[in-house]
Amino acid sequence: MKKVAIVGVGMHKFGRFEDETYRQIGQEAVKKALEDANISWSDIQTAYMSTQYLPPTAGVRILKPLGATGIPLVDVEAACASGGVAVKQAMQAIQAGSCDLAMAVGTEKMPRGFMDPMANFEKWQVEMGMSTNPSYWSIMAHRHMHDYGTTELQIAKVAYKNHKNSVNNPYAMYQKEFTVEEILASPLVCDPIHLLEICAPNEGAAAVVLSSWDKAHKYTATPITIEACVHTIAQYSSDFRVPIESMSAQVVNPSPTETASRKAYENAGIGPEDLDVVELQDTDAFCELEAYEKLGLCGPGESGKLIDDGVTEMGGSLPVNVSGGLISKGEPVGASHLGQIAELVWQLRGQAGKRQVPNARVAMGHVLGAGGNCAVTILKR
Amino acid sequence: MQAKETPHKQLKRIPIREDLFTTPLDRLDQVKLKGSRCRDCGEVFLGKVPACGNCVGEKMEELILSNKGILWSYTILRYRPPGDYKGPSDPYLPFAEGLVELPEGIRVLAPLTERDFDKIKIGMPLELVVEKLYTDDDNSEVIAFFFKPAEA
Repeated sequence: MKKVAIVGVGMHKFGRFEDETYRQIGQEAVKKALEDANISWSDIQTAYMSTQYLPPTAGVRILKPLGATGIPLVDVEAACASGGVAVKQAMQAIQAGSCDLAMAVGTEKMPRGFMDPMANFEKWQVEMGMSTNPSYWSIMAHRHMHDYGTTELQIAKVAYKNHKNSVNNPYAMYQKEFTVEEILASPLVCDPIHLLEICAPNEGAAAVVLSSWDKAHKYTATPITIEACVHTIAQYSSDFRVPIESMSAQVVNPSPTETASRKAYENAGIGPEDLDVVELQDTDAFCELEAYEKLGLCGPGESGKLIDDGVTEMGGSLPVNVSGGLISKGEPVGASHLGQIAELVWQLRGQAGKRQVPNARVAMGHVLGAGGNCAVTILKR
Repeated sequence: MQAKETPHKQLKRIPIREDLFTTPLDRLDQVKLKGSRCRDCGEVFLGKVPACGNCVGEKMEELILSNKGILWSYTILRYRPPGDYKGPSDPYLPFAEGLVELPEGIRVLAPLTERDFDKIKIGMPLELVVEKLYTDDDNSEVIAFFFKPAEA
């Protein structure tokens, strides 16, 4: 398969921006990515806009004002994995030989509070009150605690780590450290998950410029290769996530994170032991623990020990969510994976400042959301 | 306001979701949940489904689900669910929601009626409750399902 590289990344801070339209938010990320790749908008030959909450033709509305060059501008949506699909589409367009220089952009401006349930649920589920996104993670958290003895303290430690990491990330919504005690004293949203252990839906954008490998050095001295970019949907009885109404008690299939990461490891020719830095879906602190196990960073039931041992903290042997994760950055759904990729590209180039993981060479981004939509991207310097 | 001609007549009842309950709905204590079973692999689904999610078979048969189950896991919704939630909202009363494992091999997500949350434990026996959730604009009772603690 033709090799594809990332030659430019750009981000608009994740947060709340009353004075900016979604167009301005998206355009800022695009301009920064173009600048990073030393190119102009007219060089881009195709672009994918990842968003879940913007109106139809968001890609056209955001990108066409930069110059009506006539290139295809396509919106993609796959819940929390939308950004992964945008990258995959751009990568495949290059691999297919239909272009040399493509862009994947994620932009979001979401309403405050819990996500609009009608985007994910049937009316009867909403009326019965089964439309609170965190309730799904919390039910799995309780079961994990029951099966493996995972504790509320271990879950809180994940939030502690991510909030602490965010202090060094100017792109994060909250750049504030909280003690474990403060996290556990924050209001319960859905037992056992507390407010400071949950990411907020918000606004933001990130953009990535992709080039065929053979032309990548024209744009940058340090192209980052996309070793794998995989999108999967949960297969039968493999995942409990919105808007599921029931599950099999007889069949257990590999979770979408397992399926996507196994395929990604295979495509990249590496294993979890080769990773230097990981950005993963911490919609809530328990989701991060669950992802450790499903990505193969530890065995089933061992995620509590992994956080206790400090393996995934800054300075540990495999730092996870050094950006602060979604818990501190917030989750502008369409932009979240592209934000992970921007962070990982900076890490692999050695440009992450105080967040830098020393000599990071192999990185993974992971997102997972509604419908069991999952994307895993592996990058390499 | 219209005077009710037959004040003792029961209000019309409609299910919150089609193909979910046995009928008729006039004796709610006798109503059960309906499901579908795949004739090829035996997997069971809530309500009516067009095909088997497990083996992709299309030979689905209707079955009536047991009204007793075991709590597999749960949470407590401390904040009012977003959107048009029809439970008590003024004031909102936090409630528990559980995945209830039925003997047919399916775990069904449902609100629990128990509001003494300390009494809720994984593994506890539960029993189906079918009752009115709200009265709609046409003055029909909308019927939904819940689970309550049962004798072991």
